[in-house]
Amino acid sequence: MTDKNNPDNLITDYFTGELSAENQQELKAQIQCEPNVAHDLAQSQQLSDLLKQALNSEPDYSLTENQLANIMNHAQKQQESQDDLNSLKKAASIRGFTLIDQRPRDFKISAWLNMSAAALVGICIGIGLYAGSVMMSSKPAESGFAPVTNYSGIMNFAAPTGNLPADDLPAPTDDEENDADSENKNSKQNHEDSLIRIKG
Amino acid sequence: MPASEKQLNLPLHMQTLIEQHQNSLIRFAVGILKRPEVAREVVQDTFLKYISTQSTPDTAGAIKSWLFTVCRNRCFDIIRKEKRMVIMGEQQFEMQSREPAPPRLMQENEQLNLVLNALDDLPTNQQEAIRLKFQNGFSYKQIAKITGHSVSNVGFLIHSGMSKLKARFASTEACN
Repeated sequence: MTDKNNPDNLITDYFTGELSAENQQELKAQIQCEPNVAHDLAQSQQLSDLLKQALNSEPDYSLTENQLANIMNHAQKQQESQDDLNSLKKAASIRGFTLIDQRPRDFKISAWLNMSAAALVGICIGIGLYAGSVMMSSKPAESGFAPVTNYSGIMNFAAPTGNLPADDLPAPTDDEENDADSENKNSKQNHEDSLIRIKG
Repeated sequence: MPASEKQLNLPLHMQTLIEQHQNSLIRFAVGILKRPEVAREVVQDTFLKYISTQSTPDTAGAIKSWLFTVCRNRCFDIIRKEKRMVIMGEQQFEMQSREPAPPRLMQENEQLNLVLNALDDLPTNQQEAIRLKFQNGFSYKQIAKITGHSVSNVGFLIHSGMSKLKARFASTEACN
């Protein structure tokens, strides 16, 4: 949309032939009111003429003979295949058949289909994931428990128990080692006694 | 030029199209790529694509727009590819044969040189909009269709490009 209040925009549109009738009146009014606009217009006229002249003075180009021959060769082949298809169609219609064109359709259609299929699959996966997360985070109403809405339990599992890592444990004293040995012996004895009782 | 002519006599149709548009298409491609040889290849590809595409437009104006759109897209494909090549190995890219720039410096008219050099200094999107307008006579609507910009954006690009050219032109005039 051209900004009517900016004479520069109007001038550009004037030289590009895109100035609407309404804006032409606006430009005329601005030229009469402000002498600067008339000066700008004259300068733009000069630049526009120069630009056209300069762009048209660029060297003329043409395709090489090989390129032209290549294009014409392709055109000839395409024409022949089109003629073949037309004659086949004609022959089929004479015999009362209809020739079905099974050449691939425009890419655009298949691309749209692919995109919509992908979007549908994405939406389904999203709904599935959401439903799954809702089901996992709630407990059945019959159990009498309220749905778990926070994960403090899980946090408790993850919380440190206060045990030190094995490397940081102090080395056992002799008394502690003796106590441990005697505990082991006692448990071994108890185990053997129970086996004897079972056998008995 | 009706589309039926394409179906009836493709070689003749192509001959007419090439005669009408090869120069303007190559000029446009040279404006973007700055290398006439590559520009010629691009235009050849454009015509080949026109032959192989089944659903091409009907009217002469629409065919022209279609050709420019395909040509422009191909030019930018090449620029993107070359950028990747530069990233992969700048030295390899430098070894490629570079054609000399169009013989613009040979021109006698200083003012025309000045305008063309100033045009070369503009951003690519402003340059192509100005070229499409002043060199090929497309309307804002057609330029919007070719470049993929909105019509108001095309107006803005042309206006800012022209303002920069005008400023540069005015400053040079003042120096002289």
